[in-house]
Amino acid sequence: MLQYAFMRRALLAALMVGLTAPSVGVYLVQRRLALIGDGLGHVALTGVAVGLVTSTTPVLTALVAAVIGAVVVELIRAKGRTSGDVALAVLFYGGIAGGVVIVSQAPPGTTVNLDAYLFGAITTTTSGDLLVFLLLTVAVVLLTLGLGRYLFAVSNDEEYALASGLPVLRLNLLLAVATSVTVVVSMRVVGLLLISALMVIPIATAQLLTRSFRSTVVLATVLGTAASVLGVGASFYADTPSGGTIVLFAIAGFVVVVAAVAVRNRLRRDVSPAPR
Amino acid sequence: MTGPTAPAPAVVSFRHADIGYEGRAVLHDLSLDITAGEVVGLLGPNGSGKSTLIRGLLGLAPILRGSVELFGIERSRFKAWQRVGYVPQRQTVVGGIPSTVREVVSSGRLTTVQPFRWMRAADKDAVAQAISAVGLTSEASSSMANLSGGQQRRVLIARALASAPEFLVLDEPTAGVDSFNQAALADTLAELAAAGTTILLITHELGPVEPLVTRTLVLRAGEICHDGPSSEAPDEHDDDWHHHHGDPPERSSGLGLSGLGT
Repeated sequence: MLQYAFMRRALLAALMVGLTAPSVGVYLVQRRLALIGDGLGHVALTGVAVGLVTSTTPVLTALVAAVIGAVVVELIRAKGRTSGDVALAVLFYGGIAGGVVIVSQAPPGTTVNLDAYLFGAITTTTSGDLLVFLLLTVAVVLLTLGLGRYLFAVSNDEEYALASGLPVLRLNLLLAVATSVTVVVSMRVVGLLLISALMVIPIATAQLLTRSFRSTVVLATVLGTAASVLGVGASFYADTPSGGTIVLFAIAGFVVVVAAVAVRNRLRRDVSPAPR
Repeated sequence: MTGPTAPAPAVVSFRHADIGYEGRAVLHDLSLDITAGEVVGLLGPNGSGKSTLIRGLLGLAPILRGSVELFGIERSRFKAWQRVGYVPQRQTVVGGIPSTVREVVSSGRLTTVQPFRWMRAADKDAVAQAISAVGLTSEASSSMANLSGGQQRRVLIARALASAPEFLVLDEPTAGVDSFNQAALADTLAELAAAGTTILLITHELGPVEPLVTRTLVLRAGEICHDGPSSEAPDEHDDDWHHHHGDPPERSSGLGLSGLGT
Protein backbone atom coordinates (compact mmCIF):
# COMPACT_ATOMS: atom_id res chain seq x y z
CA MET A 1 0.00 0.00 0.00
CA LEU A 2 3.01 2.28 0.40
CA GLN A 3 3.28 2.72 -3.37
CA TYR A 4 0.26 5.06 -3.15
CA ALA A 5 1.13 8.66 -2.28
CA PHE A 6 -2.24 9.18 -0.56
CA MET A 7 -1.52 6.22 1.72
CA ARG A 8 1.91 7.54 2.64
CA ARG A 9 0.29 10.84 3.55
CA ALA A 10 -2.50 9.12 5.49
CA LEU A 11 0.00 7.02 7.45
CA LEU A 12 2.09 10.08 8.32
CA ALA A 13 -1.05 11.91 9.45
CA ALA A 14 -2.01 8.84 11.52
CA LEU A 15 1.41 8.83 13.16
CA MET A 16 1.02 12.49 14.15
CA VAL A 17 -2.49 11.96 15.53
CA GLY A 18 -1.26 8.96 17.50
CA LEU A 19 1.47 11.10 19.08
CA THR A 20 -0.57 14.20 19.88
CA ALA A 21 -3.97 12.85 20.96
CA PRO A 22 -2.79 10.87 24.03
CA SER A 23 -0.22 13.45 25.11
CA VAL A 24 -2.97 16.07 25.36
CA GLY A 25 -5.68 13.63 26.41
CA VAL A 26 -3.84 12.48 29.52
CA TYR A 27 -4.33 15.91 31.13
CA LEU A 28 -7.97 16.05 30.05
CA VAL A 29 -8.68 12.64 31.56
CA GLN A 30 -6.91 13.63 34.76
CA ARG A 31 -9.06 16.74 35.02
CA ARG A 32 -12.16 14.70 34.21
CA LEU A 33 -12.73 16.77 31.10
CA ALA A 34 -12.36 13.78 28.83
CA LEU A 35 -15.16 14.77 26.48
CA ILE A 36 -13.98 18.30 25.82
CA GLY A 37 -12.21 17.09 22.66
CA ASP A 38 -15.56 15.86 21.39
CA GLY A 39 -17.08 19.30 21.90
CA LEU A 40 -14.20 21.03 20.15
CA GLY A 41 -14.62 18.62 17.24
CA HIS A 42 -18.19 19.88 16.88
CA VAL A 43 -16.98 23.47 16.90
CA ALA A 44 -14.28 22.68 14.33
CA LEU A 45 -17.03 21.50 11.96
CA THR A 46 -18.29 25.07 11.66
CA GLY A 47 -14.76 26.04 10.70
CA VAL A 48 -14.66 23.30 8.06
CA ALA A 49 -17.97 24.52 6.65
CA VAL A 50 -16.74 28.09 6.44
CA GLY A 51 -13.64 26.86 4.64
CA LEU A 52 -15.69 24.87 2.12
CA VAL A 53 -18.10 27.71 1.41
CA THR A 54 -15.39 30.33 1.02
CA SER A 55 -13.00 27.95 -0.80
CA THR A 56 -10.38 28.38 1.92
CA THR A 57 -8.32 25.43 3.16
CA PRO A 58 -10.73 23.75 5.62
CA VAL A 59 -7.84 22.73 7.90
CA LEU A 60 -7.00 26.35 8.59
CA THR A 61 -10.57 27.55 9.13
CA ALA A 62 -11.20 24.54 11.40
CA LEU A 63 -8.10 25.49 13.39
CA VAL A 64 -9.36 29.04 13.89
CA ALA A 65 -12.83 27.86 14.94
CA ALA A 66 -11.51 25.20 17.32
CA VAL A 67 -9.02 27.55 19.00
CA ILE A 68 -11.71 30.19 19.53
CA GLY A 69 -14.03 27.49 20.88
CA ALA A 70 -11.36 26.20 23.25
CA VAL A 71 -10.59 29.63 24.67
CA VAL A 72 -14.29 30.39 25.19
CA VAL A 73 -14.82 27.03 26.94
CA GLU A 74 -11.88 27.61 29.23
CA LEU A 75 -12.97 31.12 30.14
CA ILE A 76 -16.47 29.87 30.94
CA ARG A 77 -14.96 27.12 33.10
CA ALA A 78 -12.71 29.63 34.89
CA LYS A 79 -15.76 31.72 35.79
CA GLY A 80 -17.06 28.62 37.54
CA ARG A 81 -20.68 29.54 36.95
CA THR A 82 -23.28 26.85 37.47
CA SER A 83 -24.58 27.62 33.99
CA GLY A 84 -21.27 26.40 32.55
CA ASP A 85 -22.81 23.17 31.31
CA VAL A 86 -25.48 24.99 29.41
CA ALA A 87 -22.95 27.37 27.89
CA LEU A 88 -20.91 24.40 26.71
CA ALA A 89 -23.98 22.74 25.22
CA VAL A 90 -24.80 25.92 23.32
CA LEU A 91 -21.25 26.14 22.00
CA PHE A 92 -20.94 22.48 21.01
CA TYR A 93 -24.31 21.99 19.39
CA GLY A 94 -24.10 25.47 17.92
CA GLY A 95 -20.85 24.28 16.33
CA ILE A 96 -22.30 21.23 14.65
CA ALA A 97 -25.57 22.97 13.69
CA GLY A 98 -23.65 25.91 12.24
CA GLY A 99 -21.49 23.45 10.34
CA VAL A 100 -24.30 21.63 8.54
CA VAL A 101 -26.24 24.81 7.80
CA ILE A 102 -23.26 26.71 6.43
CA VAL A 103 -22.18 23.74 4.31
CA SER A 104 -25.62 23.66 2.68
CA GLN A 105 -24.82 27.12 1.31
CA ALA A 106 -21.77 25.90 -0.57
CA PRO A 107 -21.69 27.16 -4.17
CA PRO A 108 -23.37 24.81 -6.65
CA GLY A 109 -20.95 22.26 -8.05
CA THR A 110 -18.93 21.96 -4.83
CA THR A 111 -18.71 18.34 -3.78
CA VAL A 112 -19.10 18.21 -0.05
CA ASN A 113 -18.45 14.96 1.76
CA LEU A 114 -19.08 15.73 5.42
CA ASP A 115 -18.70 12.06 6.31
CA ALA A 116 -14.98 12.27 5.56
CA TYR A 117 -14.58 15.14 8.03
CA LEU A 118 -16.74 13.52 10.71
CA PHE A 119 -15.43 9.95 10.56
CA GLY A 120 -12.11 10.17 8.74
CA ALA A 121 -11.00 8.99 5.31
CA ILE A 122 -7.62 7.82 4.04
CA THR A 123 -7.78 9.52 0.66
CA THR A 124 -8.26 13.09 1.82
CA THR A 125 -4.94 14.18 3.34
CA THR A 126 -3.16 16.68 1.06
CA SER A 127 0.52 17.60 1.13
CA GLY A 128 -0.51 21.05 2.36
CA ASP A 129 -2.42 19.42 5.24
CA LEU A 130 0.64 17.37 6.13
CA LEU A 131 2.78 20.47 6.47
CA VAL A 132 0.23 22.14 8.72
CA PHE A 133 -0.15 18.93 10.76
CA LEU A 134 3.62 18.66 11.15
CA LEU A 135 3.93 22.21 12.50
CA LEU A 136 1.01 21.69 14.87
CA THR A 137 2.34 18.33 16.06
CA VAL A 138 5.77 19.77 16.81
CA ALA A 139 4.13 22.61 18.74
CA VAL A 140 1.93 20.26 20.80
CA VAL A 141 4.74 17.84 21.58
CA LEU A 142 7.14 20.62 22.62
CA LEU A 143 4.45 22.21 24.77
CA THR A 144 3.38 19.03 26.54
CA LEU A 145 6.98 17.96 27.12
CA GLY A 146 8.28 21.36 28.20
CA LEU A 147 5.35 22.26 30.42
CA GLY A 148 4.40 18.71 31.41
CA ARG A 149 5.16 19.19 35.10
CA TYR A 150 3.07 22.34 35.22
CA LEU A 151 0.17 20.78 33.34
CA PHE A 152 0.39 17.81 35.72
CA ALA A 153 0.31 20.07 38.78
CA VAL A 154 -2.70 22.02 37.50
CA SER A 155 -4.58 18.90 36.41
CA ASN A 156 -3.75 17.02 39.59
CA ASP A 157 -4.84 19.71 42.06
CA GLU A 158 -5.91 23.01 40.56
CA GLU A 159 -6.49 24.70 43.91
CA TYR A 160 -3.04 23.77 45.16
CA ALA A 161 -1.53 25.04 41.91
CA LEU A 162 -3.31 28.37 42.43
CA ALA A 163 -2.11 28.58 46.02
CA SER A 164 1.47 27.97 44.91
CA GLY A 165 1.26 30.91 42.54
CA LEU A 166 1.31 28.98 39.24
CA PRO A 167 -0.29 30.78 36.27
CA VAL A 168 -3.27 28.41 36.30
CA LEU A 169 -5.49 30.28 33.84
CA ARG A 170 -2.72 30.61 31.28
CA LEU A 171 -1.81 26.92 31.61
CA ASN A 172 -5.45 25.92 31.21
CA LEU A 173 -5.75 28.11 28.12
CA LEU A 174 -2.61 26.53 26.67
CA LEU A 175 -4.00 23.06 27.25
CA ALA A 176 -7.31 24.08 25.68
CA VAL A 177 -5.54 25.44 22.61
CA ALA A 178 -3.38 22.29 22.40
CA THR A 179 -6.58 20.25 22.51
CA SER A 180 -8.12 22.18 19.64
CA VAL A 181 -4.89 21.85 17.65
CA THR A 182 -5.01 18.08 18.19
CA VAL A 183 -8.61 18.00 17.00
CA VAL A 184 -7.53 19.68 13.78
CA VAL A 185 -4.55 17.34 13.26
CA SER A 186 -7.03 14.46 13.54
CA MET A 187 -9.62 15.75 11.11
CA ARG A 188 -8.36 13.91 8.03
CA VAL A 189 -7.76 10.35 9.21
CA VAL A 190 -9.72 10.10 12.48
CA GLY A 191 -12.50 12.60 11.98
CA LEU A 192 -13.99 15.32 14.13
CA LEU A 193 -16.58 13.12 15.83
CA LEU A 194 -14.14 10.36 16.74
CA ILE A 195 -10.98 12.18 17.81
CA SER A 196 -12.04 12.30 21.45
CA ALA A 197 -11.86 8.50 21.54
CA LEU A 198 -8.16 8.64 20.72
CA MET A 199 -7.61 11.21 23.48
CA VAL A 200 -9.26 8.98 26.07
CA ILE A 201 -9.09 5.26 25.23
CA PRO A 202 -5.28 4.84 25.01
CA ILE A 203 -5.02 6.59 28.40
CA ALA A 204 -7.65 4.33 29.92
CA THR A 205 -5.78 1.30 28.55
CA ALA A 206 -2.35 2.47 29.69
CA GLN A 207 -3.38 3.31 33.24
CA LEU A 208 -4.44 -0.29 33.81
CA LEU A 209 -0.78 -1.24 33.47
CA THR A 210 1.15 1.69 34.95
CA ARG A 211 1.69 3.26 38.34
CA SER A 212 3.33 6.56 37.40
CA PHE A 213 2.05 9.47 35.38
CA ARG A 214 5.08 9.53 33.12
CA SER A 215 4.85 5.85 32.18
CA THR A 216 1.13 6.34 31.53
CA VAL A 217 1.90 9.12 29.05
CA VAL A 218 4.59 7.09 27.28
CA LEU A 219 2.54 3.90 27.03
CA ALA A 220 -0.62 5.76 25.95
CA THR A 221 1.32 7.45 23.17
CA VAL A 222 2.64 4.10 21.96
CA LEU A 223 -0.87 2.58 22.08
CA GLY A 224 -2.43 5.59 20.38
CA THR A 225 0.12 5.54 17.58
CA ALA A 226 -0.30 1.80 17.11
CA ALA A 227 -4.10 2.04 16.90
CA SER A 228 -3.89 4.97 14.55
CA VAL A 229 -1.36 3.48 12.11
CA LEU A 230 -2.93 -0.01 12.19
CA GLY A 231 -6.37 1.52 11.68
CA VAL A 232 -5.30 3.43 8.59
CA GLY A 233 -3.59 0.32 7.20
CA ALA A 234 -6.62 -1.86 7.84
CA SER A 235 -9.00 0.67 6.36
CA PHE A 236 -6.96 0.53 3.13
CA TYR A 237 -7.39 -3.24 2.81
CA ALA A 238 -10.92 -3.48 4.19
CA ASP A 239 -12.16 -0.32 2.47
CA THR A 240 -13.64 1.12 5.68
CA PRO A 241 -13.70 4.69 7.04
CA SER A 242 -10.35 5.16 8.76
CA GLY A 243 -11.62 6.98 11.88
CA GLY A 244 -13.99 4.21 12.86
CA THR A 245 -11.36 1.57 12.13
CA ILE A 246 -8.76 3.37 14.29
CA VAL A 247 -11.16 3.69 17.21
CA LEU A 248 -12.13 0.01 16.96
CA PHE A 249 -8.43 -0.89 17.17
CA ALA A 250 -8.05 1.33 20.25
CA ILE A 251 -11.08 -0.31 21.88
CA ALA A 252 -9.78 -3.79 21.01
CA GLY A 253 -6.53 -2.89 22.79
CA PHE A 254 -8.49 -1.73 25.82
CA VAL A 255 -10.56 -4.93 25.97
CA VAL A 256 -7.49 -7.14 25.62
CA VAL A 257 -5.69 -5.31 28.45
CA VAL A 258 -8.74 -5.37 30.73
CA ALA A 259 -9.00 -9.14 30.20
CA ALA A 260 -5.26 -9.68 30.68
CA VAL A 261 -5.24 -7.67 33.91
CA ALA A 262 -8.24 -9.60 35.22
CA VAL A 263 -6.53 -12.92 34.47
CA ARG A 264 -3.28 -11.70 36.07
CA ASN A 265 -5.08 -10.60 39.22
CA ARG A 266 -6.84 -13.94 39.49
CA LEU A 267 -3.57 -15.84 39.06
CA ARG A 268 -1.90 -13.67 41.72
CA ARG A 269 -4.73 -14.25 44.14
CA ASP A 270 -4.45 -17.99 43.57
CA VAL A 271 -0.68 -18.08 44.01
CA SER A 272 -0.47 -16.01 47.18
CA PRO A 273 -3.16 -14.70 49.53
CA ALA A 274 -2.00 -11.15 48.88
CA PRO A 275 -1.42 -8.92 51.91
CA ARG A 276 -3.12 -5.97 50.21
CA MET B 1 -0.42 38.02 71.12
CA THR B 2 2.33 39.71 69.25
CA GLY B 3 3.65 42.54 71.28
CA PRO B 4 4.46 45.73 69.40
CA THR B 5 8.04 45.35 70.60
CA ALA B 6 8.45 41.94 68.96
CA PRO B 7 11.47 42.23 66.65
CA ALA B 8 10.41 39.46 64.27
CA PRO B 9 8.57 40.67 61.13
CA ALA B 10 5.01 39.44 60.66
CA VAL B 11 4.84 36.40 58.41
CA VAL B 12 1.20 37.14 57.76
CA SER B 13 -0.73 40.19 58.75
CA PHE B 14 -4.50 40.72 58.43
CA ARG B 15 -5.66 44.36 58.75
CA HIS B 16 -9.41 44.88 59.19
CA ALA B 17 -9.92 42.23 56.55
CA ASP B 18 -13.29 41.00 55.33
CA ILE B 19 -12.85 37.71 53.48
CA GLY B 20 -15.55 35.74 51.70
CA TYR B 21 -17.02 34.68 48.40
CA GLU B 22 -19.08 36.54 45.80
CA GLY B 23 -19.32 39.62 47.97
CA ARG B 24 -20.55 37.75 51.07
CA ALA B 25 -18.07 38.11 53.91
CA VAL B 26 -17.42 35.02 56.02
CA LEU B 27 -14.77 36.72 58.14
CA HIS B 28 -15.47 40.21 59.42
CA ASP B 29 -12.93 42.91 60.25
CA LEU B 30 -10.17 40.41 60.96
CA SER B 31 -6.96 41.85 62.38
CA LEU B 32 -4.21 39.38 63.18
CA ASP B 33 -0.43 39.09 63.03
CA ILE B 34 1.47 35.82 62.99
CA THR B 35 5.19 36.27 63.55
CA ALA B 36 8.11 34.09 62.54
CA GLY B 37 8.53 30.92 64.55
CA GLU B 38 5.00 30.81 65.96
CA VAL B 39 3.04 27.56 65.82
CA VAL B 40 -0.58 28.65 65.74
CA GLY B 41 -3.52 26.31 66.24
CA LEU B 42 -6.71 27.64 64.64
CA LEU B 43 -9.83 26.17 66.18
CA GLY B 44 -13.57 26.72 65.95
CA PRO B 45 -16.77 24.97 64.95
CA ASN B 46 -17.65 24.09 61.36
CA GLY B 47 -18.61 27.17 59.41
CA SER B 48 -16.77 29.54 61.73
CA GLY B 49 -14.46 30.65 58.92
CA LYS B 50 -11.27 28.70 59.63
CA SER B 51 -10.78 27.51 56.05
CA THR B 52 -11.81 30.90 54.69
CA LEU B 53 -9.08 32.53 56.77
CA ILE B 54 -6.34 30.43 55.22
CA ARG B 55 -7.91 30.59 51.77
CA GLY B 56 -7.84 34.36 52.14
CA LEU B 57 -4.16 34.41 52.93
CA LEU B 58 -3.33 31.97 50.11
CA GLY B 59 -5.17 33.95 47.46
CA LEU B 60 -7.94 31.37 47.03
CA ALA B 61 -10.65 33.58 48.50
CA PRO B 62 -11.03 37.30 47.74
CA ILE B 63 -10.25 40.02 50.28
CA LEU B 64 -13.42 42.10 50.21
CA ARG B 65 -12.18 44.89 52.48
CA GLY B 66 -9.02 45.70 54.40
CA SER B 67 -5.72 44.04 53.58
CA VAL B 68 -3.69 40.87 53.97
CA GLU B 69 0.11 40.99 53.82
CA LEU B 70 2.54 38.09 53.50
CA PHE B 71 6.12 38.80 54.62
CA GLY B 72 5.25 42.50 54.52
CA ILE B 73 3.92 42.44 50.94
CA GLU B 74 0.28 42.98 49.96
CA ARG B 75 -1.16 39.60 48.97
CA SER B 76 -2.13 40.60 45.43
CA ARG B 77 1.47 41.66 44.76
CA PHE B 78 3.09 38.75 46.62
CA LYS B 79 5.12 36.57 44.26
CA ALA B 80 7.41 34.48 46.47
CA TRP B 81 4.92 31.65 46.95
CA GLN B 82 7.74 29.14 47.48
CA ARG B 83 8.03 30.70 50.96
CA VAL B 84 4.53 29.45 51.79
CA GLY B 85 3.65 25.76 51.91
CA TYR B 86 -0.01 24.71 51.78
CA VAL B 87 -1.56 21.40 52.79
CA PRO B 88 -5.21 21.40 51.67
CA GLN B 89 -7.97 19.66 53.56
CA ARG B 90 -8.67 17.22 50.76
CA GLN B 91 -8.18 13.67 51.93
CA THR B 92 -6.72 12.29 48.74
CA VAL B 93 -5.16 13.41 45.51
CA VAL B 94 -5.90 10.31 43.50
CA GLY B 95 -6.86 11.71 40.10
CA GLY B 96 -7.93 9.76 37.08
CA ILE B 97 -4.34 8.85 36.19
CA PRO B 98 -1.82 6.90 38.26
CA SER B 99 0.90 9.06 39.76
CA THR B 100 3.74 8.23 42.10
CA VAL B 101 4.53 9.83 45.44
CA ARG B 102 7.60 11.42 43.86
CA GLU B 103 5.57 12.91 41.01
CA VAL B 104 3.02 14.46 43.36
CA VAL B 105 5.69 15.84 45.70
CA SER B 106 7.62 17.25 42.70
CA SER B 107 4.62 19.41 41.84
CA GLY B 108 5.36 21.29 45.08
CA ARG B 109 8.76 22.27 43.69
CA LEU B 110 7.49 23.99 40.54
CA THR B 111 7.78 27.47 41.98
CA THR B 112 11.54 27.06 41.61
CA VAL B 113 11.80 24.85 38.51
CA GLN B 114 12.02 26.66 35.17
CA PRO B 115 9.67 25.61 32.37
CA PHE B 116 11.29 23.76 29.42
CA ARG B 117 14.18 22.69 31.68
CA TRP B 118 15.02 19.43 33.36
CA MET B 119 14.74 19.38 37.14
CA ARG B 120 18.16 20.21 38.57
CA ALA B 121 19.89 17.97 41.08
CA ALA B 122 19.06 20.50 43.81
CA ASP B 123 15.36 20.19 42.99
CA LYS B 124 15.50 16.40 43.03
CA ASP B 125 17.30 16.52 46.37
CA ALA B 126 14.68 18.86 47.80
CA VAL B 127 11.92 16.47 46.68
CA ALA B 128 13.73 13.47 48.16
CA GLN B 129 14.27 15.38 51.41
CA ALA B 130 10.62 16.36 51.64
CA ILE B 131 9.59 12.72 51.14
CA SER B 132 12.05 11.64 53.80
CA ALA B 133 10.78 14.33 56.20
CA VAL B 134 7.38 12.63 56.24
CA GLY B 135 8.98 9.17 56.46
CA LEU B 136 7.84 7.86 53.09
CA THR B 137 11.19 7.33 51.35
CA SER B 138 10.47 3.63 50.87
CA GLU B 139 7.21 4.52 49.08
CA ALA B 140 8.65 7.24 46.81
CA SER B 141 8.01 5.22 43.64
CA SER B 142 4.68 3.79 44.77
CA SER B 143 1.45 4.81 43.14
CA MET B 144 -0.64 7.17 45.28
CA ALA B 145 -3.56 4.81 44.88
CA ASN B 146 -1.71 2.11 46.84
CA LEU B 147 -1.22 4.29 49.93
CA SER B 148 -3.50 4.52 52.93
CA GLY B 149 -5.42 7.74 53.59
CA GLY B 150 -2.98 8.71 56.32
CA GLN B 151 0.00 8.13 54.05
CA GLN B 152 -1.63 10.21 51.31
CA ARG B 153 -1.98 13.03 53.84
CA ARG B 154 1.73 12.79 54.55
CA VAL B 155 2.44 12.99 50.81
CA LEU B 156 0.51 16.26 50.66
CA ILE B 157 2.62 17.58 53.51
CA ALA B 158 5.79 16.51 51.66
CA ARG B 159 4.49 18.36 48.58
CA ALA B 160 4.14 21.51 50.67
CA LEU B 161 7.65 21.02 52.06
CA ALA B 162 9.28 20.53 48.65
CA SER B 163 9.85 24.27 48.19
CA ALA B 164 11.40 24.49 51.69
CA PRO B 165 8.81 27.01 52.90
CA GLU B 166 9.29 29.31 55.89
CA PHE B 167 5.56 29.33 56.54
CA LEU B 168 3.47 26.16 56.49
CA VAL B 169 -0.33 26.30 56.40
CA LEU B 170 -2.24 23.08 57.08
CA ASP B 171 -6.02 22.60 56.86
CA GLU B 172 -7.11 19.78 59.18
CA PRO B 173 -3.96 17.69 58.75
CA THR B 174 -5.06 15.08 61.30
CA ALA B 175 -8.71 14.69 60.30
CA GLY B 176 -9.52 11.12 59.39
CA VAL B 177 -5.93 9.99 59.95
CA ASP B 178 -5.16 6.91 62.07
CA SER B 179 -3.17 7.37 65.27
CA PHE B 180 0.06 5.97 63.82
CA ASN B 181 0.01 8.47 60.96
CA GLN B 182 -1.06 11.28 63.34
CA ALA B 183 2.03 10.60 65.43
CA ALA B 184 4.24 10.51 62.31
CA LEU B 185 2.77 13.82 61.25
CA ALA B 186 3.31 15.37 64.69
CA ASP B 187 6.96 14.28 64.56
CA THR B 188 7.40 15.96 61.19
CA LEU B 189 5.81 19.18 62.43
CA ALA B 190 7.93 19.11 65.60
CA GLU B 191 11.11 18.94 63.54
CA LEU B 192 9.95 21.79 61.31
CA ALA B 193 8.97 23.95 64.28
CA ALA B 194 12.34 23.26 65.90
CA ALA B 195 14.00 24.41 62.69
CA GLY B 196 12.10 27.70 62.91
CA THR B 197 9.26 27.11 60.42
CA THR B 198 6.18 29.19 61.17
CA ILE B 199 3.12 26.94 61.24
CA LEU B 200 -0.59 27.71 61.05
CA LEU B 201 -2.80 24.69 61.39
CA ILE B 202 -6.54 24.31 61.41
CA THR B 203 -7.76 21.51 63.58
CA HIS B 204 -10.78 20.23 65.42
CA GLU B 205 -8.63 18.82 68.16
CA LEU B 206 -4.97 19.45 68.76
CA GLY B 207 -4.29 15.84 69.73
CA PRO B 208 -0.67 14.81 69.20
CA VAL B 209 0.38 18.26 67.95
CA GLU B 210 -0.71 19.86 71.24
CA PRO B 211 2.81 20.16 72.73
CA LEU B 212 4.03 22.10 69.68
CA VAL B 213 1.39 24.79 69.58
CA THR B 214 2.56 28.12 71.00
CA ARG B 215 -0.61 30.09 70.37
CA THR B 216 -4.27 29.24 70.01
CA LEU B 217 -6.87 31.14 68.01
CA VAL B 218 -10.55 30.29 68.27
CA LEU B 219 -12.90 31.51 65.57
CA ARG B 220 -16.62 31.83 66.05
CA ALA B 221 -19.05 33.09 63.42
CA GLY B 222 -16.30 34.79 61.46
CA GLU B 223 -14.62 36.54 64.36
CA ILE B 224 -11.73 35.68 66.65
CA CYS B 225 -13.14 34.95 70.09
CA HIS B 226 -9.97 33.68 71.71
CA ASP B 227 -6.35 34.54 70.98
CA GLY B 228 -3.68 33.65 73.43
CA PRO B 229 -0.65 31.64 74.35
CA SER B 230 -1.77 28.06 74.50
CA SER B 231 -0.87 27.90 78.22
CA GLU B 232 -3.77 30.27 78.89
CA ALA B 233 -6.94 28.72 80.27
CA PRO B 234 -10.02 28.86 78.04
CA ASP B 235 -12.01 31.99 78.70
CA GLU B 236 -15.73 32.63 78.92
CA HIS B 237 -16.05 32.84 75.16
CA ASP B 238 -14.89 29.33 74.59
CA ASP B 239 -17.33 28.07 77.19
CA ASP B 240 -20.06 30.05 75.56
CA TRP B 241 -19.18 28.68 72.16
CA HIS B 242 -19.20 25.18 73.52
CA HIS B 243 -22.64 25.46 75.07
CA HIS B 244 -24.31 27.28 72.24
CA HIS B 245 -23.10 25.04 69.50
CA GLY B 246 -23.43 21.84 71.43
CA ASP B 247 -20.20 20.32 70.24
CA PRO B 248 -19.53 16.91 71.73
CA PRO B 249 -17.50 17.16 74.95
CA GLU B 250 -14.42 15.48 73.50
CA ARG B 251 -14.21 18.27 70.94
CA SER B 252 -14.14 21.01 73.53
CA SER B 253 -11.72 19.15 75.73
CA GLY B 254 -9.76 18.61 72.54
CA LEU B 255 -9.11 22.33 72.57
CA GLY B 256 -6.55 21.39 75.16
CA LEU B 257 -6.06 24.98 76.18
CA SER B 258 -5.18 24.07 79.74
CA GLY B 259 -1.84 22.63 80.66
CA LEU B 260 -0.08 23.45 77.42
CA GLY B 261 3.52 24.36 78.05
CA THR B 262 5.30 26.64 75.64
